Amino acid sequence: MTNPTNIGRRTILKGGAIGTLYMAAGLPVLAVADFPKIEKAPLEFVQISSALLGIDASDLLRQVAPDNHSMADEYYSIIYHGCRSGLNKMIAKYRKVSRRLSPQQIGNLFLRADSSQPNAGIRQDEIGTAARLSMQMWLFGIWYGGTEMNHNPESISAIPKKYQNDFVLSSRAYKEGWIWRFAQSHPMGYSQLKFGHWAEPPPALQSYMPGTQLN
Amino acid sequence: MPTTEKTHYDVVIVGSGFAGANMAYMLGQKGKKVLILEAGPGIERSREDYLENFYLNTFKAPEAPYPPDATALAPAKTNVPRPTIPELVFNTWDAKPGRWREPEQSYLSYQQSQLPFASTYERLAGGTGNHWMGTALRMTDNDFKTLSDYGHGRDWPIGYDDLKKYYHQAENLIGVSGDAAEQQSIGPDFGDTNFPMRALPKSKLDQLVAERVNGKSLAVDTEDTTAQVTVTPAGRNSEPYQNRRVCRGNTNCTPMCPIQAKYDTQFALRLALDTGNVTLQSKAVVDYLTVDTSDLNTTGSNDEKKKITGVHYLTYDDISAPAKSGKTGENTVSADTYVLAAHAIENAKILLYSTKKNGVNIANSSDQVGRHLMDHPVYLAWGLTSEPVYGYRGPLSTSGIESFRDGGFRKQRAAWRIEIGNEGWNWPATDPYTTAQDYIYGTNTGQLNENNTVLSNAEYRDTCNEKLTRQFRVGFLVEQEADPENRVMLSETLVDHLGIPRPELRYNISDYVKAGFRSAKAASQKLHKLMDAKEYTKATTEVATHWFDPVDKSVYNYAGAGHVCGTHIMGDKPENSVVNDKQQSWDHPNLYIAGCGSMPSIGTQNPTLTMLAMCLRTVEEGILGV
Repeated sequence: MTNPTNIGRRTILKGGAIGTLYMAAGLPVLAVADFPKIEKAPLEFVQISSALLGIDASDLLRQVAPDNHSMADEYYSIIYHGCRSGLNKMIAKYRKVSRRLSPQQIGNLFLRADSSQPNAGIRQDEIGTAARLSMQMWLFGIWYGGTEMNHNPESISAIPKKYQNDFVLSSRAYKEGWIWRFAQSHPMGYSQLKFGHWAEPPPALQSYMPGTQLN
Repeated sequence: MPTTEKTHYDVVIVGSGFAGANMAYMLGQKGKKVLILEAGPGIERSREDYLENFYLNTFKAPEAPYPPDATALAPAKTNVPRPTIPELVFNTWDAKPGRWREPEQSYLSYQQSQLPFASTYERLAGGTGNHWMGTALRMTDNDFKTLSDYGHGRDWPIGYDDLKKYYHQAENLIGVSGDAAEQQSIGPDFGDTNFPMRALPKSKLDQLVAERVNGKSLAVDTEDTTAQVTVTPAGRNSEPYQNRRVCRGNTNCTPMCPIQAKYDTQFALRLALDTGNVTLQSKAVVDYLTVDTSDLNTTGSNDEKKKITGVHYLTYDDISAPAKSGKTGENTVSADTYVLAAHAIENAKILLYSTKKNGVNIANSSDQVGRHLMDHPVYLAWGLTSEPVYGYRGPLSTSGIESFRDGGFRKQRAAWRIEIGNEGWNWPATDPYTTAQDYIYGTNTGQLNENNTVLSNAEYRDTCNEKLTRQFRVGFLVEQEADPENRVMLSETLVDHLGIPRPELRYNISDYVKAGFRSAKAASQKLHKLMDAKEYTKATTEVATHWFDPVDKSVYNYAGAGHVCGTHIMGDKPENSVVNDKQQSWDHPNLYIAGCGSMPSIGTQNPTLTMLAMCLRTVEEGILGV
């Protein structure tokens, strides 16, 4: 496991890149002083993440070289401290519905105000908050506590003060972000690709998630 | 107590960026003893440290890897502050766009300016050459004489032919990959020379644009010219070069190439130090130059009387922001020759402060120091292609459309070149983050989630895949003409943590540039149509960098290109320019003022290569006097 270093050098801003036109106001201050003790992620956390993201649990559980690091453990450790009540409620709910609902239905149930209505808004309770924060750690390697509160002011009661901001969890978390694989690309600033690969189409989406059944 | 440095140098260079590092390298090779004074921290122990900063920075602006923390927004409490993108794009607490009018948070201050200056720079070893993108285009013949040819801006005292051999030298020094025959077909004469490396391959997007747009007209006033997608010459290795690796397409040329396949100025600095004749002193902030005023009117020849006698600098320890400690000492160092190469804005600042400290005019008898500040205001346009182009891969840009950089239309409007971006909507919309979060939060900030849907599982994954793989953007780099009213001044009240006055800017966008933007907008619309792409370009008043155009009654946004030019322009007369064609001060024969600040016109091409060619010429024909 990794115990990320240089936490003091993390900045605390909204996800961004060069000269964005969409920068919002209200940038909070970094409060996480130390990376919390690593907790072992229960299988339910990975299964919920799988339902949210559309990635098979076996792909999410793939250990990261060279030290067999578990991203699941890293993300679970953060949310265990950053939104524990929501996490527990999310897992409890999952246990109740996992046998009768499909992963797609579970994902919708955890994210939507009305699971059958895609444009009815977000689920605002602690389960919704825990689901979104989990999902975004997998996608970006970022804890979006500040962003969650901007979108969902009710979440303030679900997130301890020092997690009420946005920060990159670790450089490895950035490099392991799934959003780059969804784009069939690589994290900006990190790849193991070869010269000239950009002149050819990338490998098929399936090859980025070999254990996942794509439609 | 002030002390005087005992060592005598042939040349003291202020600044270790593109100009300073390379001039030091050239001079060191010729056996000259050179001292470089760098305001910021020195060469990093390991590139991994800067890379780690980048990975951990949630706001991945061009400054993200480099100290001091660009998000601190505390210039008065920072020993070596610089302008940053956060100053421009972070909203204030009361939702006003940008912090540029808040001098306690913005390094650059503005009293009478209507618009913020949109470009930033670095102050550390290697300077802004750390985060340059690598584009290495030559200027066209007519770019050197925009006033006589088109009635706008200023002419150079030299032409393309005077720089031609130095362009070639600069391309070899950097290690530029490119196709000279192709470049020659669209403008500059390469003679029988070629680039040291073959061109980089075109991206999937480049190939699609070429397929759909080549041979077609884009702009109404250039009907007789058709578009041609060409590979952009770039300081990125297509072959191992100078012991650096080949490009692996990490899509991160700015702010830093993780494997140094892109030439950067820390590499140049190492070459300079390896000559054994160059000394780098970091955390040495030059605040002013000195002249011997005691016998200014009594003895010596005119040239003797006007010689610079020293460089005064302050030292400090703490590079954090805000800093816990300030000045630790001060010193004056002397040399036969002085080179100011601290960046266009910093050069002007040092000269203006030198005048104030000495009580006599330094290098500014023409009253042109600080004037003619230029950039390439960028018109960003973005859309979705009808088929995947797989962005977020490859160098940030591999091709452009250069066909419209010159023509009679420049009498009426500013010209532009088109840079084709390989990074999806990262620049215009902060993607993939914005779009990916839109589908989580049911928002439509990035414009692709019109129905405000919340998606999960396969629907989420496949929607992200379908959108992100079709994103593309182009940037129109619009030429900005030299205007004496766009200027750098010295703030009367604001200082940094060392007590050095900060730059105050006056900046506006002229009708000439605005006409160029209108043309770019029309060309973008045509380009999207030809590509069968849906355009999503959106202008907003929610950012500071915008204007309302009364001609077509619409809002325009502009981005900075980081191409800061002007401020000590060269000319053929001491009355109306700061330096001569060799970047030598008209007022002080032993002072050279080097860098993009000397350029009287900016053209449409990224200026670094031209600036380096100018500096190589300055060393050879000026300082060494060959």
